[in-house]
Amino acid sequence: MNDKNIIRSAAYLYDEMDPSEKLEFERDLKDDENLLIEVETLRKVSNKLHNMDTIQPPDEVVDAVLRSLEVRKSAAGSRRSKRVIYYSAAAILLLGLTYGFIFTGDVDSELSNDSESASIGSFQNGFPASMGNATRASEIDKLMPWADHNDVLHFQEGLYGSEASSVDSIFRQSFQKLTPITNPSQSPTARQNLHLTGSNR
Amino acid sequence: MRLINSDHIPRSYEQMADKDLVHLFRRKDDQLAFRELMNRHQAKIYSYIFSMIQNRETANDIFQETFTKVITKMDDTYNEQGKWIAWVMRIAHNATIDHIRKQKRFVDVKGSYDKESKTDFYERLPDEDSIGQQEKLELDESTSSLLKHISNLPEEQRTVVMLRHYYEMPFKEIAELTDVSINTALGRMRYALINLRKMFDEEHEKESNSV
Repeated sequence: MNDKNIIRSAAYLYDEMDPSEKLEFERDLKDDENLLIEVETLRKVSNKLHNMDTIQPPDEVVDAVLRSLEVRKSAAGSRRSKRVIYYSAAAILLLGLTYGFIFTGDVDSELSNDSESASIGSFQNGFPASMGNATRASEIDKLMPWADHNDVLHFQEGLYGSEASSVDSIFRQSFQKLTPITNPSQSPTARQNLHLTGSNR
Repeated sequence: MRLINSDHIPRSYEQMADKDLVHLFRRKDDQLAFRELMNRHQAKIYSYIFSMIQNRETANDIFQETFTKVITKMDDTYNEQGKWIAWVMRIAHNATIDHIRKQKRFVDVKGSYDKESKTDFYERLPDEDSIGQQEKLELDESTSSLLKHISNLPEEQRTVVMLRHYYEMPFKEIAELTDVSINTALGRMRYALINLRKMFDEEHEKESNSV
């Protein structure tokens, strides 16, 4: 018996062949008497195996399995309740974190705005934010509003309390320096000197 | 034999397909559904393990271990794809093979000479014949001659015979389970059938001689 037929006889017996392979094998069976005897012998043994008895497991073993089923049920119950507790705790924590984030986020943004304006103020005014309050108050007293090339008036921003009131007073004083134009046609030369060559900024 | 509490299982469960029972157990934690599944398949699974191990106590342990794993894994890893019984058989097969491999590794010949008894390792080995006789006696009492013959087959051939004839498992699945090609599985089946035929002939000869 060659290797090919070893597998083919078992495959034929257990219906593990393609229809074309099956037809080819049946043709070979007609031509090869030894192959036919082999297949029929195997078939007889295989038919005996169909009537194979079974052995039942002992009752105590089955009972032990069923007990583990009960244990699993109670374990699953406690697991489920534990899971509920974990999920609840996680939800509360998440809520707390979300609220905390929103709340602290606002405070942080306010703080950062404050610090930003303070730093801008300090840069605009030419003194660092780290200076002492007394020094800063004395410096503010000396503050004067100024106008840039486009005649935009600049003054101190972002100050509170006494600083703000002192700046306000400076701001009000700055208006007193402006004199209203009574007759615009009095200065034609100034208008003629205006050159539109672009922005100085 | 049915389970001890099988009287409590409603008749409707007996008419349900395996997959429906599995679904009931997994989704609704219906223990009656699991009991019905066990009722259906416990004998074949136990027979498979017993025929491979050929020892009652070990077979009991592996059977229990198998179903404990099944109960645990049905909650987690079982995905309800394919036949449930094929999945259980895979667990039973792996547990059985693990045990056989452990047994093969177990022999330790270190310190082979015992000064007190003045015997070496081989002298202290239990008499294999006596064990074999004991096991055979156990088999004679509880199994048919067919199962007895199957238990005498080489392990690889025995596995294929049991998986195919108890579970009608396709050779493709047997090949996957035993980690060989389909052709190898088919070849093993053929050799198993030839060996069984020889055993039947010998048995028949003995019977005719005794008469």
